[in-house]
Amino acid sequence: MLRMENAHVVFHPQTDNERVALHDVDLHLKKDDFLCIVGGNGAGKTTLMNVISGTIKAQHGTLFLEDEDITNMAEHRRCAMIGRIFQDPLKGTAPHLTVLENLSLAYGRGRRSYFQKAVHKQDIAYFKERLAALGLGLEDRLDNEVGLLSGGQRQALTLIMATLIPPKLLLLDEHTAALDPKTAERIMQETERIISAYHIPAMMITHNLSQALRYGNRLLVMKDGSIIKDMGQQEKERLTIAELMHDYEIFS
Amino acid sequence: MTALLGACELGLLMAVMSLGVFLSFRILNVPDLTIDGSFTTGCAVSAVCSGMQMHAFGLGMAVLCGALAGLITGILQTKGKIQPILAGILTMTGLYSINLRIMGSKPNLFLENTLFLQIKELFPSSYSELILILVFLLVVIGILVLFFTTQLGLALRATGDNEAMVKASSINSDAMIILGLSLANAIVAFSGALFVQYQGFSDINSGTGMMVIGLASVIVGEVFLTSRRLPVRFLSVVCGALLYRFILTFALQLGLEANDMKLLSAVLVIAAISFPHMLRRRYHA
Ligand SMILES: Nc1ncnc2c1ncn2[C@@H]1O[C@H](COP(=O)(O)OP(=O)(O)OP(=O)(O)O)[C@@H](O)[C@H]1O
Ligand SMILES: [Mg+2]
Repeated sequence: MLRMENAHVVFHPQTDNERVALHDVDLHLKKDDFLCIVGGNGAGKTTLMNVISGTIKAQHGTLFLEDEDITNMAEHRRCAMIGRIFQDPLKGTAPHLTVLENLSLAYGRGRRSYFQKAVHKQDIAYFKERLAALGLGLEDRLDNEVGLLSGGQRQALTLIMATLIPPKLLLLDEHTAALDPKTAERIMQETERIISAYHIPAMMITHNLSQALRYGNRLLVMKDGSIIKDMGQQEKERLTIAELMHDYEIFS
Repeated sequence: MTALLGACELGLLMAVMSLGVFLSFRILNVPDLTIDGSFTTGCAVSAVCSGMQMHAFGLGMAVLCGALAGLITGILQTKGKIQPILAGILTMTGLYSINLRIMGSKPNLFLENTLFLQIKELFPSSYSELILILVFLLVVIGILVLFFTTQLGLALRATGDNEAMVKASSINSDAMIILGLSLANAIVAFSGALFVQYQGFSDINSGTGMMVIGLASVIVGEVFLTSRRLPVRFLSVVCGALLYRFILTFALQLGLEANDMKLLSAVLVIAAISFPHMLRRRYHA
């Protein structure tokens, strides 16, 4: 499904600030994988996603999505197939556009016809249905500017936008970190429901270890730009938080 | 009375230009200094075409050349990775030479016949100029309003608002920036062409200070009329341009000289931006 080979990222090469953010990383993702990624600050988790989405170009390495070579494909063309939620809650939505306008824009992903009307009335019912599933009351705020929403509400909206058209791959970068515990729980359940309902392969970065153990069928641990551990379903089920913390010195 | 009429005519002409500034400055969120150059390009192209008695054709050509100027700035910014302000300055500087070439190396051209003179012959009235300008202004606003009801228009607005989100929605944000700057400069050059047709001559320095006038119109307009809805914001720009022109006319009547106008323009922009903030600070302190 996704095949990354030898991805190598160096920031500011040949300067005093040189920093290897990804160290020849290999990663294979299967059709029904829901992959959790944990690892300390600066481990290279976000960089890994940036390489997959095309935001950053790797120094070398190859990337295939469903047998298509996307190594050199431009970011906006890849994003026709990849849904993404950024670590920064403000990055996923346009603050001066309304909730409806943001959704309409996202609903054109990969199939946009530029000279059609910006907002189609008949799509609104679907938008409302998807927002209502979040349980945050956003379905009643379609005409609000997104800048008026809280960071957590914006992150929830981004989840809906990223999956409005089910992507071939979903990238979640600490997407519940900015939410209060109750909402975080709710958004996590909704995330899982969307992923299984639409059969979307997904990668999720989190610092919440219990979340990492509870969700998904696979767990990666990253450190200093490398994947130091890759655990499958069974291994993951046996694991405890204490072990995870201790074994891999995530938060050392 | 004639002073008031003249102020209205000039104000509406500048409103067309300010709509272009609004596009780059407010919608795309890019300070685009190409404008001073592309306005003159519009003037030059229109004057040369009018010299050959092709007045309407000249307006069309001005739009095209303006779009081309914006295209270049856009490419410099997105593909050449040159900072927006610098990209605009570079295009503007290059345009000075090109504009001179267009005008046959003469710093100014005077026209014997113009679109406005022809219209005045057809409809002899002291308001014929004002009405003609108004018609052109409404056409520009109409096109913009229509444009911004499309997905393309929405994508353009989003690009100025959050580029990361736009890319994640599979939109080529570079193309949007290039398109937006082209559109903005096409409008600016169009207003330059109208300006030449209106006053009957073109000068190589006509465009100097247009950016500031445009900014003043946008900002003064927003002091009095703000809204989330785009058509209202276009209207706000028009009001700003008119108001700005009235203030300048009033200052001239008070005895200020034409040479002082640039200073006054700068002061006005400063006041319009800073005053509301200072007032707010006093009330909230
Ligand atoms: N744009 C950049 N320029 C320079 N260095 C960068 C850049 N982005 C990331 N880095 C460096 O690359 C390394 C990996 O960063 P990355 O953002 O991938 O970490 P992360 O695992 O997502 O951490 P966190 O948990 O804090 O989000 C860090 O050392 C960081 O300093
Ligand atoms: Mg990160």
